[in-house]
Amino acid sequence: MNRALWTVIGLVLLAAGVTGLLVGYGVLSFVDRQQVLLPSTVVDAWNRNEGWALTLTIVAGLLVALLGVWLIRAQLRRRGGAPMADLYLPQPEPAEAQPTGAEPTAASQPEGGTEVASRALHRALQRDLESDQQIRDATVRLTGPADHPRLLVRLAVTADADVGALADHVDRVMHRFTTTSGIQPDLSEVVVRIPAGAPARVE
Amino acid sequence: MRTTNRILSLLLGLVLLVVGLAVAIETALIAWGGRPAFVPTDRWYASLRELRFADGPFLTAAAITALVGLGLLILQLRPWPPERVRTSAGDGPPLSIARRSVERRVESAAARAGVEHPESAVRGRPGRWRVRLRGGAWPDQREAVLAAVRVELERLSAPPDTPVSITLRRPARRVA
Repeated sequence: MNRALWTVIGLVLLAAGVTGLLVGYGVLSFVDRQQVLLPSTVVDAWNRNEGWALTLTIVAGLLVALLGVWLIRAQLRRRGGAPMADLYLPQPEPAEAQPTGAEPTAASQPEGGTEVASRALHRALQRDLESDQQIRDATVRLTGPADHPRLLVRLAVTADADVGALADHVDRVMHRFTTTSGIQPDLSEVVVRIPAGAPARVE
Repeated sequence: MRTTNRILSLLLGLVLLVVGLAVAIETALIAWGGRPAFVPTDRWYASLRELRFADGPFLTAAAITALVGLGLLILQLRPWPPERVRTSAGDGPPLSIARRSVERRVESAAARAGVEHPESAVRGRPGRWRVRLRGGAWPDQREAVLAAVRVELERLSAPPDTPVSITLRRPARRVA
């Protein structure tokens, strides 16, 4: 988005600058180069419609300020959207919960379920990922609906990490996570980074 | 460049917020019969009523505006190096590596193979990238350097057909 935005800004500035130069050097015959930047016609029009002009200027100023707020928010927003909500696991159906042949009774069907904090799921995934000695730091981000979240993983690894082995480790971690939590995240991105100054391999 | 763009956009957002609020507040003050509080509107008005298109300050401002616009366009439209590159590791979703990390690993491998002051650059697209290595080494070391870089790329699970180009300049002296 930023690249497109600054390309458009660049185009607008280039067009404005070139037009200004063409007018200033009298290349554009339909504009008088000796004309002042704010001619009397514009001042007269402003004075004739002062009420409207002031109102429109205030509205334009507020719109520009809102645009600024939107732009700041867009830059500060984290990638991937809002974090995943806490996971709610309902009480299993009686047929699943009871041994085969047992009669379900009111007493054996307590209401409620289990709630797993999203933060706990994040931490569990992170610790499991960091269980590999090649991984120095793992950052995970679960976003979207709790039943099928998206997962973004960032791994800071040792200087001599074997990426193929890392991929296998991530696969195993994902399998364990799905088994224990019951949810299968859509693993959308795994990014490996070797921090500058990571210990060099000794041969 | 992505980070630069993000910082520029953040600054632009702040400027728009401040300028927009200043315009709204100052205009509201004028509308209610007051005087502008912090913008020297009288001075600006006088300048705009005096300055002509043919005047030097206007031409200078136009030239600077055009140059800034041109600079921005060149910076935005030229090919950017990928922020991260895709590997062929695992059967699951693609695992990517930060470009700078690949460059560092290639430089380390080249240094171990005897290249002095190795400099590596990864270019292309995230899914189709290539490696360029420059450094000081004798021409007869070329094959060994290439083999070392290939082994390192293998450890990084780079796609097997990743192009590698090596440019070696003669080192200052041959190490015995």
